[in-house]
Amino acid sequence: MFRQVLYVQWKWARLELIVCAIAAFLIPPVVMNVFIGQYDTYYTRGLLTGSAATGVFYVALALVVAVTLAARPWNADAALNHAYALSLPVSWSEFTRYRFLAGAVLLVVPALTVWLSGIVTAGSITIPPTLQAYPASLAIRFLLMALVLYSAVFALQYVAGKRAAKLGAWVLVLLLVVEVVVQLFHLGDPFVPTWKLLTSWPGPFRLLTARWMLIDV
Amino acid sequence: MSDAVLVRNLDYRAGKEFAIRDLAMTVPAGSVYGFLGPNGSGKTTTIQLLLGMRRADAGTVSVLGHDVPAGVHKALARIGYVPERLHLYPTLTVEETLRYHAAFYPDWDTARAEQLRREFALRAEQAVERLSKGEAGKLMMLLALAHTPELLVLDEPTDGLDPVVRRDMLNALLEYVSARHATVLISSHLVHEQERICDHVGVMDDGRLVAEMPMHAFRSGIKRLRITGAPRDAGSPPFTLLTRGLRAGREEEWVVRGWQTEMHDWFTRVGGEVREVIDLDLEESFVELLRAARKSEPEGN
Repeated sequence: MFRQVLYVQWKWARLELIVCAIAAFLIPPVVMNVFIGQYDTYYTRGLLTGSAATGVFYVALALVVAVTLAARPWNADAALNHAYALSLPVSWSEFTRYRFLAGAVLLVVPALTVWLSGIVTAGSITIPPTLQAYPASLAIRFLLMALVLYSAVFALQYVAGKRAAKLGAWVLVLLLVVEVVVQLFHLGDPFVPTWKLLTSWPGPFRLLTARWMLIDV
Repeated sequence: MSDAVLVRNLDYRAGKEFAIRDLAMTVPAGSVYGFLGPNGSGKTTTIQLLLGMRRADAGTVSVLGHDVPAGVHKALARIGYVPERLHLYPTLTVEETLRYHAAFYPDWDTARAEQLRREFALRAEQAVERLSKGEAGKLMMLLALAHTPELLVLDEPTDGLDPVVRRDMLNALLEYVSARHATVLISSHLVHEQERICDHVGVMDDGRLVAEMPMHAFRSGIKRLRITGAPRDAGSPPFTLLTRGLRAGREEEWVVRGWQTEMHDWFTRVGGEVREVIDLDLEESFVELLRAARKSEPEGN
């Protein structure tokens, strides 16, 4: 049963997943090269700035992957007023469990690409002896972040319905924009108290504001 | 188990306009039960309540011996359901739909499913969204039959289909029922189709089951009588008077339920005379029953 649910969800989301996987693979080499080029004379600084920027892009990508994987099956069921799902001989909780697990398994596809891309990128540039590459931990962070966001969107949809899901997605996008603005313009600590509560330990989105560095000290 | 479906005192309200009130319904095991009623009478809502897709406000529902909604998933594994509208994922192919559906049913018969697919001329690689209405109906019938259900619940399965597709689907259904002795609950407003295949009938109108009886009783028990000298007050006749109307002169036309030949005597006793007894076909009986039910409906309901 789970295999079939997984297959169907893969079929629904495969196009977006492949695009996201390609993006996940291209982000580190492209961003690193841009920043290394900008900081030509300060190579190490270029590496670290590029690495931090890669992290910001990966946060955005994790959000896109999470929303896609949570929304696709919900939309497919909602378009049929959930009539098909409800007519199957499984309880609603069992059905949603399969749906959730299938989406969670599919998160591994872009996470693996993040890991591969990290290895390839780290292997193709010269890393000074004081710095280290962390492709595996970056991929794990990506996977965990995507899983947290996916769980949040999934829970909103399956508990509160389509309207709440849209609202939740917009709130997440807004929070993300706030974070990007804060990071890009060096505005210091995030200025929204809720945001701070959610993104500082033990808030569920702590990973969002953590340092996502492919190359670090 | 003598009843495949047993409903008692079922209440359900959907908004301000529509309600199912105090519904009692019995579908005997092994019967082909025609669930008749005009559009909007509550047939689909009742079916969804039976299958646990909606929650009743009050009352009890038992399907194949399982209480609904508590045991509905066990019941659903033994039920083949064809809904009123296509409820399958449009982007999947026929083959993918079959594989997906089969995964939920432990008793899925792959060979039978493949045989039906060929009989229904459904292409495995065809996307569900590209199926014609007839093909979609056949696919849903296939899905309902291939896990060898004990109860088939068919909600307007042939509505809007051409006669050839309709015949194919009904043939497949009857073949299955005769081989497996399955129970069928088939909802429709196509009365003549029901007359051909059903042995029990329930008539729904405005959220109420206005009649439920074996088909032979329904077919033979409702008559139109031409009467002269009928008393103004009918008192307590030995039949159920459904409607009464004036014809030319002193002649009246009565539509009655539960008519038997010996009831001529009752008219003689009250000073009347039965001039003619007219058999009604199922559609006329159905219309008269609805007319009587609507007349007896209290104001404001």
